[in-house]
Amino acid sequence: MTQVPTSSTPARDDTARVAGPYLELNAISKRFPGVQALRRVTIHAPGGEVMGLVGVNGAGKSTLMNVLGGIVRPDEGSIRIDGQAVEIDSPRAAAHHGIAFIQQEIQIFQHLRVYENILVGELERWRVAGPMLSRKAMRSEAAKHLAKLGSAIDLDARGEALVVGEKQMVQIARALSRGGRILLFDEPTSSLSAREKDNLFQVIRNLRASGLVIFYITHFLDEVYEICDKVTVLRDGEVAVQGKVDDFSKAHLVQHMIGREIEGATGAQGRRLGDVVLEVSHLTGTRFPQDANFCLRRGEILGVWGVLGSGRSELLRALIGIDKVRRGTIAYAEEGAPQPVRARHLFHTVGYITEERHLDGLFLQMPLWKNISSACLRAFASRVFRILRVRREMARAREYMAEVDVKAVDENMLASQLSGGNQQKTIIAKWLMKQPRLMIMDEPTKGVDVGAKQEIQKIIFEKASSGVSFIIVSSELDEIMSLSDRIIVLRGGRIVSELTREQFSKDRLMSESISGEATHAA
Amino acid sequence: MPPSAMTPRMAPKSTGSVFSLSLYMFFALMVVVFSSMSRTFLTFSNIYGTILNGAPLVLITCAINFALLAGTLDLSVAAVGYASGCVCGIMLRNLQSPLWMAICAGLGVATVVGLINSLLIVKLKMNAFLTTLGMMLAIRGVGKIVTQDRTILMGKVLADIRHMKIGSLGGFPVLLFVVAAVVLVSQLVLSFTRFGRHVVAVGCDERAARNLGIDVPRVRTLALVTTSFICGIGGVVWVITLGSVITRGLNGYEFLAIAAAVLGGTSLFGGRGAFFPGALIGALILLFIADGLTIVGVSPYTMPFVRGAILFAAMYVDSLRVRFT
Amino acid sequence: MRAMPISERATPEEAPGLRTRALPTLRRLRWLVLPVAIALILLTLSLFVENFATANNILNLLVQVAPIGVMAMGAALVMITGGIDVSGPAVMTTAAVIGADYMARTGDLVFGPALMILVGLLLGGVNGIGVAFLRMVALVVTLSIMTICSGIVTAWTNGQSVVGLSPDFSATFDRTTIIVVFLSLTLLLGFLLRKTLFGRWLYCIGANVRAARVTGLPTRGATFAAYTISGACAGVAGIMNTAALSSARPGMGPDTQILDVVSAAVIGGVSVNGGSGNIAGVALGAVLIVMISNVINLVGVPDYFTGLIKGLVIILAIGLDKMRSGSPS
Repeated sequence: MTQVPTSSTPARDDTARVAGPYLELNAISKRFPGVQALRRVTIHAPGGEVMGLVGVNGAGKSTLMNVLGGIVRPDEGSIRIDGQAVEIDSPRAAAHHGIAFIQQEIQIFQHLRVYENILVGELERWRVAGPMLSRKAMRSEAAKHLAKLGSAIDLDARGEALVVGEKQMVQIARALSRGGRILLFDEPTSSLSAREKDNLFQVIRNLRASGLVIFYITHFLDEVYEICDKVTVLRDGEVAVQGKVDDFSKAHLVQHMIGREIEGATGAQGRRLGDVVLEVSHLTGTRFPQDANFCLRRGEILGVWGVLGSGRSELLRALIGIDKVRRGTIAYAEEGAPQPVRARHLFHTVGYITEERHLDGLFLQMPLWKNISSACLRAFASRVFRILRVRREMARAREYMAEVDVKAVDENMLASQLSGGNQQKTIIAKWLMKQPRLMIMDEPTKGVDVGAKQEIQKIIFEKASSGVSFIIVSSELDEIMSLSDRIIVLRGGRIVSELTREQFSKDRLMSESISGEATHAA
Repeated sequence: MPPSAMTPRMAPKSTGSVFSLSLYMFFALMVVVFSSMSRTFLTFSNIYGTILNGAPLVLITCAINFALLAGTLDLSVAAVGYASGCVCGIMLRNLQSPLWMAICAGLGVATVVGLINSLLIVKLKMNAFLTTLGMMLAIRGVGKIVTQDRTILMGKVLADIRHMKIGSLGGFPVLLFVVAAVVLVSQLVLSFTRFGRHVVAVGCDERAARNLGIDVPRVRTLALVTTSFICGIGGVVWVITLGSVITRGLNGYEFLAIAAAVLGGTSLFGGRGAFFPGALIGALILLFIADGLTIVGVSPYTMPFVRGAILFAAMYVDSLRVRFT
Repeated sequence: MRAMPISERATPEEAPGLRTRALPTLRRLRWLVLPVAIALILLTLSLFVENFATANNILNLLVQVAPIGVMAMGAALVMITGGIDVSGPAVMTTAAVIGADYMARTGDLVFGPALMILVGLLLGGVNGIGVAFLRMVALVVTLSIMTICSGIVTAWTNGQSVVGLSPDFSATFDRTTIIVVFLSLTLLLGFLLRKTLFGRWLYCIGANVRAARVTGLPTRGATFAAYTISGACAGVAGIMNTAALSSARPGMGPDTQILDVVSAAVIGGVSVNGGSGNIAGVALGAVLIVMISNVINLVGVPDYFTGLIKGLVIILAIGLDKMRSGSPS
């Protein structure tokens, strides 16, 4: 496996740093039609420090990074590197100044080899005979950069053969080979396994020690405390607060992010759970899950927890029947005792919210009402000729829009015009219209800002109180602990433990998901 | 779905090589079957003749391969070849131009079309499929106008040229070397030049390429112009080999070329594919199947069936491969 | 929520051009462009060409439009799901040839047309299986069917026209009947697309097939049906053409005709990417395409210019489609 040379400097030590560039963003403002995305944002980032950048969706983080990356030009303000004003008007110009934007979406070319992927932005440097490139020179250069990261990735492997963590390493190597001195990480851990995350953090620490300026955008506040030295909170395009990470508590940060006191998740207690509605026995899929056994009661919220790759989504998909099931039975009944059901029975009766709403959650070019009614279309079709009663559709859609509080001008707005949180609420409304007794949600608040997150959690509690059962997968420890009545922990596709509310502890959940032994929080 | 949870590491590499392996095996199988069914299949004159007659197809396949690799599509390839051939033929016969001038004119026409295609598809961002379909119609129309919809026999003029061509370079016509050169040079460009690597990058992921500072419009434009240029070569070769310009020249070759490219492993989505062996083998398979069937005595009416069936099969295999990656 | 009047306009459903600067009223009137263009051309022709505006002439025009329009409507259904069907004219020829041959040999004028539709259904069904169930690329599946069809036609007829078709056939399916069938199909398919469950399924599949699958829509069945209907439409077009020509021959549906068919759909507002378009527009698009051919002839341009001009027209149509949606295809 990969062996990263560990840096001996502990996390937030200000001594003995290599001198690096000094980046200044001064009074950056940017206006898009209808919205002021950035408002006189000033951030000074010296080399050798990791600057965390947090804020709700729409706060301006991405816009700021796009400004630095040359994708967007600011209306006002200036950028200085080492005291010199610089103009960044294109990605190439950004690269020229040593800025490397490591975006959330994979930027690896699947049909190019690893060494080509690393060097693809500057191939002209390896021309030997006329336009011909020297493979040998390219390979040794690429190997150099990978070695710096302590990565043992096969140089000749094609991009498509790499796993996510390796692709990220290649992207970082690419940034370094282009002379990157200022690295921008945008939500780098969302698709990584725990081990890959640790690896990444070690690499970041090494890069920090060599004096680079590092920006780190994340939704996971725990990571800010783990890897960042300083933090800047953006809110509504302005800097709400910035300073050393140690000077803020998490609640503090959240408060600055949303600008108001957050209410704790209420509604968790005091719900009466009914009889068992779902019984899963020995559920085994092709690879995951392996011999899953659990039950679910009416009105209960079951959390599914595990690291990435532990088979959470696969469990859901096997349950619903999208993935093939090798062994096992599922017994389900809306009323009365659970009866064994065939594969895909649940698919037709429950609500299923997928993880990637951009890909398969919405019909972006269609108006809201068509999206919301899309799971129940047959109900709106006349018996003869199957004519759709559009008036009724729109009316019902309006009802459900109100129920989940989708903030839109009216039901004719296109799904593509909504913010992430409202899009997610639309998807929830769509499934609620089906009036299922069971809702299965895969990361229901992923990529959703804090305000909408709470509203969605409120909807879940409300529905649970009225008897709807939930199975929820979430990567956010706080969320899953506050939402669930019970949590099952997956590891390697197996359910390794089941915790009731009284047994919830972050420590226990983390340790169960990673290994059998308990670890101590740092 | 987080890829790390889903993608087993070995899978993509092995499906790729399995596919290429089955391609070679199919080719070998075909050769074995046909040669066992007929004495004349594996003879020098048959192979030679097939390849010579199939030169235009090989070239047009290489041409469309460039477009496909870059992530776009050019259905006007055969029409461009036809038009180039027309122009070349007319200049030779009616205008009594010297050979080099006629060839340049043909190539020039092809390049111009390539530039027009790039303008429409890259600059104006129009849908490649429909646009090149329209261009195909338009160009064939121009070809018809220029030849006044009649066959032009090159007759004596061409006999001289052919005579000059055949017998040079050790008994093999220069044309074969031209074809080989195009295939090899294309492969070298693809694998060993910045342009080639950029084409693959753009075909894989246009947005990522742009973010890295790759000039995507320029790469695409160059790819499309190269496509048309190679078609021009194909058209000129066709006219010289055939000895006349027939009105329905190279009809349907664009679809054959797509079939050949896909057979050879090129993905319709861009980024994946090769010229040598890939596209070359694909074209050879199609050519030798047609040849073999004719030799064996199968009715020519079955040709479209077989072609359609092979195309279908190749597509199916391709879709399987995409699904498992 | 404010109650919004549900105006069922004739506009194609599509995402708005985000960079459009036109006033909102102009955008809403967009749907008038096509009928106005046609009306203008008609007006010009009737003014400048003698005997243009006669009933006879108009009928002849519509008889030419009918088969193209019918095939275009079938293709439009497929395109709305995000696919493409290039096999229309080839399937039409195959159906026509087989049906006409049957009728010529047996004199059975009742089952003959049914046979044509059946052949169309079958071939469309094969397309549907390839695209919907085998998950293959639509362009190539329909392309292979197109190739195979030309083979079938040549084999069946040995390259000759079908002879011996009873003149009663053309008498029964006279011009009026053909036009009535065309209009009925327009209404039927338009209704199907806009008002029924099936139509909504097609739009959803074209908008986002993965979301459609997750939502529980019958994506494979609906896609299969779309291709099958397209094939059946080609069969109907075969009936029309055979009736108009009183025979069927291999060259009836040249591959170039597919451009007319697809142009008609694109001009009529169907987006190649799927998720938008309507049948009325397609019918008008077919009228426009045929009128252009006629104009070219009437004006005295030699035949071989047709290809060139039509090619340019389709490029123009795509350009307009792009401007309409305001985003790169």
